[in-house]
Amino acid sequence: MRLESASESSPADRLLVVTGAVSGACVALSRLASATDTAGTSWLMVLIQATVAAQGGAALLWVVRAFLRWTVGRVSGSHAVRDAYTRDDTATYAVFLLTLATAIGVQLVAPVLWLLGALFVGAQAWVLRRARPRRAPTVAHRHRGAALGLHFVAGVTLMLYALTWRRLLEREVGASADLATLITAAMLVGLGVGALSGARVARWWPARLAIVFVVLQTAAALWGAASIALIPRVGTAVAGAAPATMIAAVAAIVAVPMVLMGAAQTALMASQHDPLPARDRTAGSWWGAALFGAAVAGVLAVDLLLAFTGIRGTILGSAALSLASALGAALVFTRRSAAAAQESA
Amino acid sequence: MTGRTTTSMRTLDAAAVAAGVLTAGQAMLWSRVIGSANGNRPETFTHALTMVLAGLSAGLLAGIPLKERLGMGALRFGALLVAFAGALFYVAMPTGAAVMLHAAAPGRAVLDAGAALAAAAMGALMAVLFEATAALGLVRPLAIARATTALLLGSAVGVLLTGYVLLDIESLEHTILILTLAALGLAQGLWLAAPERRRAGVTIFALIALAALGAHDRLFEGFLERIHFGPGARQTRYDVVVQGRDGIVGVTPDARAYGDGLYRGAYSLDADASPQLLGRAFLVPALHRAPRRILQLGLGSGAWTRILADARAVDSLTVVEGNPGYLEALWRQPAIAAVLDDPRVRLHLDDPRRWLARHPNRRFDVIVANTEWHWRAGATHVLSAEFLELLKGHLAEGGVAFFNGTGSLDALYTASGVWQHVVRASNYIAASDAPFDLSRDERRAAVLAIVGPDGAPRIRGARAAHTVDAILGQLSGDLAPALRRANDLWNITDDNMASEFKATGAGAWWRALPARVWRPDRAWPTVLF
Repeated sequence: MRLESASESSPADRLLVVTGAVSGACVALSRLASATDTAGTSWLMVLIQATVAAQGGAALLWVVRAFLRWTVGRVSGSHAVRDAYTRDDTATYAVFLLTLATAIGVQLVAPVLWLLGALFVGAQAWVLRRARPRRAPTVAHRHRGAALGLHFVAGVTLMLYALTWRRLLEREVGASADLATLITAAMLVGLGVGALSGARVARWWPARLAIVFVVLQTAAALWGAASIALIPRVGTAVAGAAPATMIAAVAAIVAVPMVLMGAAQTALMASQHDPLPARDRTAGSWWGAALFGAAVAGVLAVDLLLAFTGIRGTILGSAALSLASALGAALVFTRRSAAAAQESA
Repeated sequence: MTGRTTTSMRTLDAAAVAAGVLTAGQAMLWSRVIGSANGNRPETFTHALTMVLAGLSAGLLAGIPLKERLGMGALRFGALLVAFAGALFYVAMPTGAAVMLHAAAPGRAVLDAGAALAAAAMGALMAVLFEATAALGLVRPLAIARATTALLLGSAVGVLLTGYVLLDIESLEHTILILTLAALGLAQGLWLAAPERRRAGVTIFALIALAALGAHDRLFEGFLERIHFGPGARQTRYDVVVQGRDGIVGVTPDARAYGDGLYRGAYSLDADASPQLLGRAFLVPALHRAPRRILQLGLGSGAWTRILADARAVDSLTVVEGNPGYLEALWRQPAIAAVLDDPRVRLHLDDPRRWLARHPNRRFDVIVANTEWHWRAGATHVLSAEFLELLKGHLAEGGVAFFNGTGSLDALYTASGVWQHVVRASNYIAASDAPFDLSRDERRAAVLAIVGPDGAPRIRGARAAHTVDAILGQLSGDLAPALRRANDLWNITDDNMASEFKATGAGAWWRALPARVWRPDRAWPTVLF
């Protein structure tokens, strides 16, 4: 690390020092104001604490920036990347100027600190992305991102359906560990059968996989929306029936849309097969994206959606998302065909 | 396709099925343990599942690059992954429980991290199996779909095997051990199926399995108490534990029953000892002039059933319980269990809501619902307006519903939307379309008409008058008019699940957030200068 005297410092360095000093002082003043007993705090103590915190804040940001620059240099192993990163990274620390909001009463509680952290990480990621050497993206690579996004969305909708359908069915056929087990098993079997069916369809209509995906995804979305009315009706019809009938009905009602979704995902995967190099087309990345979507949906559902939109709203939102992904896919595939034709021309 | 390829394909298919069984089985147990460690709050199951899914996702994305970096064969690498996942699964459970004994939150964090890491290893194994299947020469999408199907069908089998069979015939701790040994067995199988010659791995996996078997009792000593009570496990031990696929019923030496770690009742008929808790059961005959037909939803410890059956006015008592574990625990308390021999008492093992839907023509004078904590996952099922309407539909004219709101004001508010009159007794809610107009003397007589096997009142002796006063003193006046004017309470419905997600949990957190984040009274220029 090269040490610079104040006279040599660049505007970026001065900006960092000012940002650190302001945010450090704000944090200290906010903590003082939030203390239960401020009556005994003298002007002198406020001044001393603010001054020390300002210096500490500036030093802390300086150390963090130096460490991150060193890390980027080591990890990338490229002077060009490090230089590009160094050119822009100081601006990301301006995020911490948001601590000025403490002057109007914003408290530095955990959610606010998480938000500040997320903004800083996002800004750093953006700078890093700009610093990376650029490759001319091929059509296939551009659409790989879109396909991963579609798998992610599929995972989101799948999880939302799994959580809400269980609740819907519990009302009609009773809540029990058995029902949860049955629903999970039926969904997994449906997805498995769907995956195999999708692969067969991919062999039969290799040139029409885009249409297959859009149709299946749309059907799954419509089934999802209809489930709000369908599940209570079927549930009421079988509530007094023999256990075998009830199990079959419950299994069918959740397995059918899963077959559609499983087949749609496999068709999408198959449509991405040819144009990509082997490293990019590992099945792991497709299913990884879908499961990551499911994980995100789990948190979203119980920490946000169910609290604000209830079961009905969550199901409709999920169906809308599913439909949007079908429409998005139609758009992506159309543009891809046009681009491929242009490339071959 | 050559013979060699066919054999390998079958091996990979079997490995994928086995991986699916183990992954799903482990995920079920993680959800159950993490759920119990959080009091089965509504968000807990999904959070546990999220950790597993995030782990699987990371493993699926990182599996192939990691394999290439290590330069290992697919099957050998898979064997290491599954052994790692099994060992971590086995060790993280009691480790998390041990940490919970000191501090609950870090212990839960250990369990969450264990779930994610073990799932990541299984996810990496799945990625390896996908690639290995595709490398055998099938058309690529078909190969991947075949491996996917094998995994998913295996997962379905794992869910059914663990959820229906293992947890029903074995304890939670033994199911954990069985899945661990199965994981190590799969690791041995993959190691042996690999084309490389060295066999040392098989021996190492066998030794790990032996160590797990040998250390099991010591590692899992007090495991249930630790995940159920956290630091409180130092004072609370289970004397009797009944485990089944519907949950875990534990009975402490002081005869208190716990369902998955939450208080469910006491094996006691002594109203003098706990007039606040058991007194509510004695209050039931004092809510209705002629409570001849009573329906009790939720058996719990069985003490309420005994007390209700002892009321002179009662002609029939129908009990519905969803968890057979309570019945098994009750058999160990002969003084209370004898009530099940009473010809007036009929017990049905069924979900209360389903039982009500299946018996639309049954009518009762009093329905007692001793069901769920209002903030617990699934509480909506027995607190929503729809459920209360179902209860109302099973009440005879002037009938009374007496259900456990566990102190929820939203449950009171919801009841006031269904019935004309609502009163409160401790954390219970009594509701009816007929006014609660029994005089104090009538109520006193009804309470004293609960008699034991000797024909003498259950509440007797020098403190009888004091106890009866304490029991009747719990009853409030009619709250319905005031509740209907309230504008800050939730009407719990099946759709909004207010008691689970709005009044508590995420909804409460979001509503409180603005006030936590912005406090103008603490703006530092105002306070300090």
